[in-house]
Amino acid sequence: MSYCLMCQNRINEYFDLEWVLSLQQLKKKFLCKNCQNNLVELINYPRCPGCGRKMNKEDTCIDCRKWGSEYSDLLGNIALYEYNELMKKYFEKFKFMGDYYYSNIFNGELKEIVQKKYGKGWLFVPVPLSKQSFQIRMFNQVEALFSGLTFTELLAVRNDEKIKQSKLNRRERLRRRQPFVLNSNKRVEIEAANILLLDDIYTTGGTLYHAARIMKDAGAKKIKSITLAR
Amino acid sequence: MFTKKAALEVQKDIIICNRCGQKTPKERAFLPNQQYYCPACIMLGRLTTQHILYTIEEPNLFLDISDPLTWKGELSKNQLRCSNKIVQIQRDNKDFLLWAVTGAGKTEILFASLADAFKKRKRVCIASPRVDVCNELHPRLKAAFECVTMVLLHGYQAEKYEYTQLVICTTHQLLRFKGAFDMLIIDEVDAFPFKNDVMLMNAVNSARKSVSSLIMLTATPTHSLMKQVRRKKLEVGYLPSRYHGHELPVPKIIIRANWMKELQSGKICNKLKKIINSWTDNKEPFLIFVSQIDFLRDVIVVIKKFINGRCEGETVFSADKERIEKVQKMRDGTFQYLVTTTILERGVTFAGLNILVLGADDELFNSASLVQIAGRVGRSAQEPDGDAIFLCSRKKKTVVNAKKQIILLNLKGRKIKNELLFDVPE
Repeated sequence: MSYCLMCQNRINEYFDLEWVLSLQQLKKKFLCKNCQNNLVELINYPRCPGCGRKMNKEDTCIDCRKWGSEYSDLLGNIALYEYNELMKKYFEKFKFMGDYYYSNIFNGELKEIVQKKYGKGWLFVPVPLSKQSFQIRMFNQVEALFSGLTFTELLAVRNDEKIKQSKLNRRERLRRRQPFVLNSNKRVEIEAANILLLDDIYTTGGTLYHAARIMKDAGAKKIKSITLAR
Repeated sequence: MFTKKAALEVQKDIIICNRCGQKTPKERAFLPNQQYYCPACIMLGRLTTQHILYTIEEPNLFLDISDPLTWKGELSKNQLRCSNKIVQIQRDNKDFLLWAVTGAGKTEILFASLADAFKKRKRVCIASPRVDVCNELHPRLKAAFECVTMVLLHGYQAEKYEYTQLVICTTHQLLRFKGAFDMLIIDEVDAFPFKNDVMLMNAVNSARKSVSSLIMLTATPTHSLMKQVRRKKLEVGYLPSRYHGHELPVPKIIIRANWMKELQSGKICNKLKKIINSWTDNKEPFLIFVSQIDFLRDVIVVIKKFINGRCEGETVFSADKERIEKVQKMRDGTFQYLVTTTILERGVTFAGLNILVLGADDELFNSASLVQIAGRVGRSAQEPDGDAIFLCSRKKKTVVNAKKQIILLNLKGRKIKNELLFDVPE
């Protein structure tokens, strides 16, 4: 018997015909049906092709049009879920309280989509964490969410970068200066490479476009991104 | 002066937390850097294998206060007997269960023993599983013991920890203390999340000193507590009447097979209409209880439409950010009603209140919680009456039992009006 990591209620195992016919092993469930239903799977909705957010109809959102005028290419972000109340609670427990085990909830899905959409010929680059944050949390939440993939750690947070992104509002985030530096020993790998940036949440796009800019300047060919939430 | 201990003990397959005492399989507790953490008490801040816990022996560094009790109220005869008993229990460092009906005035019964403990420089903690109970106790105790230092601790508030003679806190906060209290009181001992929680029970045992008293308060004791009483392992005091001497309002059960469908299609049955009309016409406050957060929205829409601006109200639930403010508005009279989950089932007092439980036959309500909910009614001496309505889709044992229990308590209250039992009630 297992319990839902989000609401602590018991999870009823359900067996349907499809599963029996698939002859697959029963996947370990981390969420109950109710919490699962409270997640908004963005793949089922029309989305913005730039950032992956839910739209009334398939169209580039206003924010992405602005990004488009600053950067020539949009990131074509794929986000699995809408950032709603349940997702907020999830990040509270996983990222801020530091319950590492919660990475298991979405790890399978994230790995699957990366492998499906971006196969060979892409470098998987997780967005890095500042040293201070890493010292407190003792793990990088992005690497935890996507664990099992082979990462190429091209980026690092500047040493003098102190402010936590989550403490800033939209305007402050957009005005922020470049928070990243390239890992000097990895410079060669970027040239003409296809790069898939991995992050936990796409909020304003600021972080990812900062990362993209530094990669582009170093000669990357294509840059795309995947996040858990949008 | 202090002792030092690693926060986590790592064994072959499990880790053991030295703060909460819980064992966790390694696969649930590992961090990628070969360290471990305890997920059981993570809400108090994560402990990892890199942490060290320090404990200081309780020094009882408090001022001498000759007369700490600044409360000048009077106790009823039965309350006084109970109060005297608890003073004795506190002096003898024993354990005690006070079973008192809802609205018996449990807090005031404690005052004499608290005063006695403070005078002897004892350190005291009053803990409850419910945040709302703590929030309600704090100002009352502050008014009753003006010179005693006290701090309120729970997860929703930002008051910093301070060394004080009285600690008012949620039961989870007890995990932060070790051998600290000479007297530990647990209010609403049968409430979630304390009930059946091994970790919190351990927390009680480790937060009190080895020589200390433990007073448990409840209106609806659990089977396991009553078992301890019957086996003479726990002393009990039993107070079956309210402080104002009026009887507990007996709930009225209304059975309406498809009330839920009706409500979802925006309708309310005539019986309920009548009842709600009488409440709004007489300007009486009321609480509507629902079993699940998901129902709140449906219910408030229908109710708002029906009330049609005659009075104000809102929904409230545990994770509601404005929870405290909304309850305060209800107290102020800005709101005449709240649609709520079980979070307001106990520990809260609104004068002249009526209650309606929608779906009292739902699994989420057991007899104890229904008795508690009905116990919100008629608590003030000025307005000792009120309606308690249980709406069910079918007759269910828990609902009928709750009603029976209240009738029985009233009977006992009548019979032993002038006697307080320190023995197991039949």
